[in-house]
Amino acid sequence: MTKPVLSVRNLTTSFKLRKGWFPAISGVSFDVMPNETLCLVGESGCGKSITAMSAMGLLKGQHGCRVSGEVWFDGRNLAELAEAELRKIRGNKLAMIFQEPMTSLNPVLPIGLQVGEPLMFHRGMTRHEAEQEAVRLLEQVKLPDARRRINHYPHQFSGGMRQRVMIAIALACGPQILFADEPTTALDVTIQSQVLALLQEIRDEHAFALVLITHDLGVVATIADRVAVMYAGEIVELADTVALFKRPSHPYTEALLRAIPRSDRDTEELVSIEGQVPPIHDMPPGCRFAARCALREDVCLAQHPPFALLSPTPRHDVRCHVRARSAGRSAA
Amino acid sequence: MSAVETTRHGPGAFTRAVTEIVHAFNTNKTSWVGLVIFLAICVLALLAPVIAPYDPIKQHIADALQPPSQKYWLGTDAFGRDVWSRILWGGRISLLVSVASISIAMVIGSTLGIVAGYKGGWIDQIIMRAMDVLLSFPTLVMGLLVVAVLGANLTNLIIAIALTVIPKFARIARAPTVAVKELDYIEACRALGYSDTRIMAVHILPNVIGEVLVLASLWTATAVRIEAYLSFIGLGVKPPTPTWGGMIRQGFEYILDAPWMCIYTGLAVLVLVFSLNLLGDGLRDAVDPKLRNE
Repeated sequence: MTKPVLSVRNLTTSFKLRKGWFPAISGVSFDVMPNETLCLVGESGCGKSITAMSAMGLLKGQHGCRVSGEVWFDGRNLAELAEAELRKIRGNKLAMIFQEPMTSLNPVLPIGLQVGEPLMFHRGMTRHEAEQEAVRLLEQVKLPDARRRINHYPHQFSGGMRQRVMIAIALACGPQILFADEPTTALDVTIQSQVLALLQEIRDEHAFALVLITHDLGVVATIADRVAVMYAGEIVELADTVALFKRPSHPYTEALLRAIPRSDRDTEELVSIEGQVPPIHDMPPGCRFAARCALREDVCLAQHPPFALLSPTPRHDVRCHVRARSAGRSAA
Repeated sequence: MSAVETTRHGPGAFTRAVTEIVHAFNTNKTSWVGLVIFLAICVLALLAPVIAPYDPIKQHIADALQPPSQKYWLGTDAFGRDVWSRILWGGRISLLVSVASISIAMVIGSTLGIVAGYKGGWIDQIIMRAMDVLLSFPTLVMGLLVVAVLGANLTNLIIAIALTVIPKFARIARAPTVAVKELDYIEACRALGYSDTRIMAVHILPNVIGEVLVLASLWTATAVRIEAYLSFIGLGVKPPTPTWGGMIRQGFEYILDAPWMCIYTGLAVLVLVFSLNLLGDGLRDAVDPKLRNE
């Protein structure tokens, strides 16, 4: 079996609120395989972005923020690495692109400089070399007229163009893993599909692993190899994309899939999930989804469900007492 | 465009910076006026020994307090010294003191402000409280303090003025830093592994420099004034050496009988300040691509 490029184990990130420290994500564990696309899905505030930022070590040492757990990359635990060491990896072997292309580029620097900067910083290239390389990178992300446009400033580009520039910056040093935090959310639908297609294309070309954060199950279905569904700061289900869409096991995943409006069905009303996500400072002791769950039993309210293996190949895990039990029974 | 393809790192960056400034000045024509006036003042001050019609120090008591005439273009002061010659000579010291002190204050002050704003927490507290302490000293007291500790001369005069102005730059640089560091692209820089120094120098500084330059052009004018009253208490430039500030102070005693001393020297300060303001505006546009028309 191939070894994962990134192994996240028991990642927990807490924030300081008025009443004390509260975990925004807790016990998050997953592997990223080489050259795969792993999607982190979940609703707003479930901890998708926090997971990616914690894995990159961006939250470590920040004011009012505490990170624990292990992040194994390249034989080293990033969670224990000093900031200076971490800097050599970030932007170099681990790259990240953000949701909002309108604000993720520095408005006062020409884009050629911004694309070339990681090369000057991590590879020690001169400004001239970096600029040549920037042209090549921008051509690779299909920015028209790249040679002329390297002297332009971000405000002279459209949202989709800027996201391409962001991708070029992330690609500059040839990363092994690219975290993309809702890269298409701020774009309109046609541009969205272009950017997704581009991401997929360059992923295959450069053979890096893509960790895509999204709340759009349509995006997941198009691009993902595996999916991790997050709810209230935990991964509740982790499975192959096909398996997940065919046999969703966690009641939350099921509800999510039901909630997708479908053009081939004649429905009057849009389906939604009743109830609310529990607030960060008032997490129930049992299953976090229990209050909204149709399968709820007494054990769900009393005991926090472990992340249980549902089927070994393709691997499918779920954090649900009821479903884990019934899977165990059918296997036995 | 051609600069990118044809030149190497150093000259490429420099040529481009110059091209950009020229371009910004062209869109804002008044900044050329500012630059020309400022350079003219510098040239006149430098050429003082050649073009000044009289010795600025030698007294002609018989010609004291003469109004402007063919002989004395801008009149004479209480000791019969030619005001025009003294303005030319005084320009050398006033320019040196004001430009040097403000440059020092600008560099140190905005560095402190950016570091304080970017780092936040206790570093911010220490730097900004230290700035508050500096601000709480009136310029005069600060001047006396510097004299008492270091002794009275031109260098210490520059240091004293710089010390009183540093906090202003620190504050003006800190405010936009605090706003900018929360933006996504600074987060993106951290995700690219850049060091704090690089983020501050390459990504935050260009956002701050506009405000800093405008403030510098305004405070250069004030520095001329501060030099005047620090010289008055005996710190720095002593009479009879002419400085603009000193001349205005001296002329003030005779403002009703011989207003030309104050008026013409004041005019010199005004023209200098005016040119620096125009220049500051142009420079701000030059460093802020959002204001450029392309």
